[in-house]
Amino acid sequence: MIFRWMFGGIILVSLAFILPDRTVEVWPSLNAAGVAALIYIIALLVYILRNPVPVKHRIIVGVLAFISVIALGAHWTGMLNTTQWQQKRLLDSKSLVVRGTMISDAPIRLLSVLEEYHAQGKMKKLSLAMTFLQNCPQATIGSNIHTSSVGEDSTRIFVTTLSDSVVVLTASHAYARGRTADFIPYWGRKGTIQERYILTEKGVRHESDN
Amino acid sequence: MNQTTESQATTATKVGRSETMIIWLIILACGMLVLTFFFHHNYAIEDRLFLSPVPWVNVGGMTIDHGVQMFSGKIPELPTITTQVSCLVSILLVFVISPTLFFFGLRTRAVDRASGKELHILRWSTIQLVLGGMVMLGPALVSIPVAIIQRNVSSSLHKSVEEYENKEAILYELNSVAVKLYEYRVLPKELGGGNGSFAGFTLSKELASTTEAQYKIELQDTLAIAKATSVKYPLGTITAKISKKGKFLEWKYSELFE
Repeated sequence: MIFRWMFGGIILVSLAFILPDRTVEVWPSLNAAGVAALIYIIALLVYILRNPVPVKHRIIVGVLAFISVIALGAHWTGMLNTTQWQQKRLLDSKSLVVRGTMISDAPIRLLSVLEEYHAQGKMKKLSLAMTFLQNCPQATIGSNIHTSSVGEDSTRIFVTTLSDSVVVLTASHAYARGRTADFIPYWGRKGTIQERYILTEKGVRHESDN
Repeated sequence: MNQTTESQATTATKVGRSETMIIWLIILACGMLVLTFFFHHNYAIEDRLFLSPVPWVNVGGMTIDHGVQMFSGKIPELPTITTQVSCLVSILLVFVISPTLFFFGLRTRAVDRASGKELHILRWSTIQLVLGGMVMLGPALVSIPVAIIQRNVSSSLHKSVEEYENKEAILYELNSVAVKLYEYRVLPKELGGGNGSFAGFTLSKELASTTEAQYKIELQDTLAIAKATSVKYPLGTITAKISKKGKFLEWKYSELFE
């Protein structure tokens, strides 16, 4: 009988383990196997703790099993929640730092252009685009103007519009994730951060795309 | 004559039992050695077979590892067959094989006791009970204090991470304040600017008070001093000197944010 039970339990838990789709995380399989294992243990307890097992033993074993299940469940779910939360916080922090890098670079560059533009007085000889090109002579549509202050930097700031009245800089990051996973950025992986800074003669407008 | 025969038979039975007992003890010792070896090498990041009494801890370690990989731009790979088999075997060992051995051992003892048989302390049901109990109850016993400690650690971790996030969010918003200051200074008066000066700049309602902090600004000739007081942690403050070009010259953090 012991081998029948063991075999049945192995089949039940193994099936539950392989049932969820294979993902990067093992949690779905592990959780499904855990639930199947719990069902198996409850069934096993019901089978084992019948006559002639004394009532006193039934109560003791039942209480100990209950405490064990609660402790293991708390440890298991605690580990699941904590590690998933830590992973999310790690990635959110990365996104916040990347957005900070973008806002400390792109709008300041554009305002520097605006300062020169308005310094011309009311009769302006140079348009916004021309003033911008004076500052960034190499810039063309689609070129990256971000210069890294640290060694490796996956941030890019692209010139995406360059006209007499509007200059748009689009800031992207190679992999830092944004708000929407389906978002297709100007550059970088799907779902990554994208911020746009739009310069007109009235100032700089910030639009957070993702 | 009869007495001699009975005595010889009893001795033979005892010898048979003790041999079986020794074999079982050897099997048990070998089993424990194998288990100890695998439990000792139970970290699953490297692609090798592992056995763990608490496989969810290993899987949690993998989740953190994936987070670190994504943080540095790598795409985590699907778990290997070895990792999956290791997790499954660990679960089967702790939640199927050991409980079955333990509870059947328990029942066999109860049935034997009820039938009034002569019982020996060391018998198969005892080995079942001990072996199954060690593997099954070990993680359960460890889990009780660990679950309590984990709860406390998790709570303090949440607090420190939330403080850090609040600080980062305030730094980001201070950047927005710096941008608005610079913009105000470069715009001519007819476009609502300060025409080369910070004089007359006021923070808009959206910038002065956010869900993260409240901001105050002190204007000087060629620079401005912005002070942020955290809404979530009122003891957390950041004071920043902002140049006329919108660059940060100096930061000062209160003790909470240092």
